[in-house]
Amino acid sequence: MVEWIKYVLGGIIGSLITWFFTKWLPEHPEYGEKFFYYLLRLIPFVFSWKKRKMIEKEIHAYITEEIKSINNEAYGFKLLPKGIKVEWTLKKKEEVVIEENEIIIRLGSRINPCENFVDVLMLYLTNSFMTNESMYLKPSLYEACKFQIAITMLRNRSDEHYQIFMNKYYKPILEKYDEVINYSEKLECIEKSGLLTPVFLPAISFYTDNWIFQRKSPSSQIHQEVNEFLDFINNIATKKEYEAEMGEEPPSTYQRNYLKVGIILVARPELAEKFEYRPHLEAAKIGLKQVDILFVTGRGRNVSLAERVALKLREETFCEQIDGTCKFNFYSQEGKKIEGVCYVFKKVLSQKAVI
Amino acid sequence: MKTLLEGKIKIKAVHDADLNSFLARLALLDRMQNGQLRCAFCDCVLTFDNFGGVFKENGILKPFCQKTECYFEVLKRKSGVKEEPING
Repeated sequence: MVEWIKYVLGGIIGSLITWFFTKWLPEHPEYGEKFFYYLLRLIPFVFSWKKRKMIEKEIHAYITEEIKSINNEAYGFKLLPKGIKVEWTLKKKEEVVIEENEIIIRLGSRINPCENFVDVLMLYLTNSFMTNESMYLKPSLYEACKFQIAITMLRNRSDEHYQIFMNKYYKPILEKYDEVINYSEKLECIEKSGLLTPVFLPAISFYTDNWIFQRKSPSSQIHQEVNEFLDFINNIATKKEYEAEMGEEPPSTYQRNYLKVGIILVARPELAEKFEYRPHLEAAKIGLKQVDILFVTGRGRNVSLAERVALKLREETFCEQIDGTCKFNFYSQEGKKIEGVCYVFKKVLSQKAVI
Repeated sequence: MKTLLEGKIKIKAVHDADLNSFLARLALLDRMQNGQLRCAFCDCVLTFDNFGGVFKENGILKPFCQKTECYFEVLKRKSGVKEEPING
């Protein structure tokens, strides 16, 4: 039906245009000059409108998708609390008003069109990435986290976008700021092993919510503990190197004054099946005695095992799951894409004595 | 759980095609055409090729070029990032 209407309308409009050019215009030559004058002015306007729409659509569609994906990976903790909208400043006969601290950037036919996207992405992250959490992080760590999230968001884009970002932003900034490079190296390992959006950043968000609720001011001790927590996660991310250097497994809990976080890397399915998941549940029980939140994660062939352990933990009274499953992908050293899942549980305070 | 977003960040932009009239309305076009408009951060002469955008700080319009360092400087000021940590 709709198709049929389209054909009829197309036919009517087509015949009107043909009539206009072949019959009406030759009969009214006095309007010809005026008509072509406006037509010539309309063509560049339509082209620039189309270009603007293309830039807007590309930016909006892709970044919005990535925002949702990152927030969902972080169990609903809003690492990126706001959406994005590109607003073109110049509308006909309108004053250009720039407010205090406001930026108007130039977008359009750059030498490389990917620059448009990357510039907007950086401006968006500056305005929206972990805005509440930022005060509890050292400024250079916050900057490094922002860059790492940009890398995460660009992983699914074309290689060209990634290269533009690396050459235009990442490398020049790292060369300039020594402290950022130290953090970036660790964050890159953490991101590659799938512990950035599923573990490190949500843990910071979890504590930020608590600290804001308790009206706790940022302090150098909190900054210090966050830095140590980063090292703790980095040791897990680089488990093999850690074991080779230290001769033991990296610790699975981090307990200080402000942050108390545990991680269970679920493995050994044969042990779980033989003892009905008791070893894993015991580890979780012991872990939650010492920490506020516990991450249970499984990768590759251990994904289904982690799912079963999480299912068992949900039935326990000493803990409560925060949101649903975080499904993520990470890359092996050979660049192979591997799937992973992660669950987060918090201690149920009323059951503390029972535990 | 689907996360609901708390509003949208508006990214204000000007398209290449509107650059002339945009600068004219900000009274910057003549200065650019005369080669008097300079980047607020690196002090290079701004042209139609290297103009990166405008930033308003303390009531003053600050045009900047397309160099990464200058754009990063704008972003840093916008986010209020300071190098020193907060109280101990």
